[in-house]
Amino acid sequence: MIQDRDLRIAAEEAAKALVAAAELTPEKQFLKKVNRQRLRAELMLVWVFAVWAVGTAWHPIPLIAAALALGQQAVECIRARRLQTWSIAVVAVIALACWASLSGGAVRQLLGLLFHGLALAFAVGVCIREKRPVPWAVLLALLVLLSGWQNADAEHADVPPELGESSPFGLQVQLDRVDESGMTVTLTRPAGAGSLFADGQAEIVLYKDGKWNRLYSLDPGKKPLIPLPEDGSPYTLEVDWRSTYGTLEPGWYRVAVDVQRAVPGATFFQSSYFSVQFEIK
Amino acid sequence: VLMFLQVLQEQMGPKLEKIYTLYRAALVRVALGLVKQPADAEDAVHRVFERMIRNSPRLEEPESLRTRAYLVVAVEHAALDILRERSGRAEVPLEEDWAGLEAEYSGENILADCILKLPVRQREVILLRYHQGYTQRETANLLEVSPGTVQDAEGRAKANLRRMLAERGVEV
Repeated sequence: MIQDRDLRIAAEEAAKALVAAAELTPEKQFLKKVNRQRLRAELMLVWVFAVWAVGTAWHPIPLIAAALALGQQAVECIRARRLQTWSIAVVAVIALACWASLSGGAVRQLLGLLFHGLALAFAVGVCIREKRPVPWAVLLALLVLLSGWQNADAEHADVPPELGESSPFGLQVQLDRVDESGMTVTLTRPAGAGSLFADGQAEIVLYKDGKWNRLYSLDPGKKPLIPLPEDGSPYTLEVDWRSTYGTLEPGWYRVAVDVQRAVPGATFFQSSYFSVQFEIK
Repeated sequence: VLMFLQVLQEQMGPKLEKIYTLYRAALVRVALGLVKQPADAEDAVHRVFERMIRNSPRLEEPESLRTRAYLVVAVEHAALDILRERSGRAEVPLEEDWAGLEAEYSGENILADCILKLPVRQREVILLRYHQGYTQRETANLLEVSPGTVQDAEGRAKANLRRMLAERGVEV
């Protein structure tokens, strides 16, 4: 037989647990909790931005932002007695920053883009969900402004922005080899592209002092255009630039090859370039 | 909402109005977890307050545990009523499978843990009877069921509690 007194005591305990499970707190307390969660979300955004900024360019402003964000995170975690989470967060940030600083230019640039995209998507998402457009719009604007600053900063960095390879007239370009003496590229023309010609005389620019500079050509004479096979079979283009530019010194270069297409019924050619960026170490 | 507040104020005075203002959103969240449809969750919360107007439960201060526990039981009851009304629909599970609000208990009172694990209809009767202190008739009035139903639920709840305690090696 269960005593009524025992039932009353147990029912009180059960009621406490039930109310806690229902999170039935007065609206003000609930809002406080929501605000805390929102603050955490905002801190997260600062944090993402700081890591992104640190990952793309060592600069005092993002470093200070990162330090502040981490400091605030620390206070939040100490208050919530979640020191372990905070420690993991700090280690993660430091690891990411170290990895970014040790990585090459392309990786660092990719990381920057990734974090930038994440931060913007996060801000837009929260802006829509939280229905608080003004503060988030301000943050968004700040991010866009800072992204402009970051891009401007990247122009002056040691590593030039990666442009990748273009494909004029749908031409497939595959870089097989590039070194200080020349390069080997396989070109495959698409069906219906018309008559295409590649200029064997590649033009090289050197990235120096934050700018692309044309290299002085020892042999400015034009070489004949090479017709690309009409049956669509791959054509291997060997470019040796020792006669025109000599052996290249260490640095970042971009080589551009002129591709021309004969315009049917006309006597002129359409011209386009594909470029390849590379580093001589 | 404003009209409902006006009705509450006219019918039950400022205390109920304050309870409504403080807990409406939280109660909708609780109901939503059970009925899954936002419109049904709103409906469940309105039923809670309509029943409070009709049946006049003894209310303490809005922030007190007793008031909050009553609200949880009442909204759970209303949500399950709505589920029962919808039970003709294929997607709604059978009544014996209905799960109430899940609550974890980490204290040392084994009986309290057993109460939380009771079927939801039996749990609400036990809480209203032994936490809120209502008689069987008052409980029946608040839940809008017959006194016989409450008596039956309480009897089955106690039997279940004895069985659960015995399974845990507690002598009753």
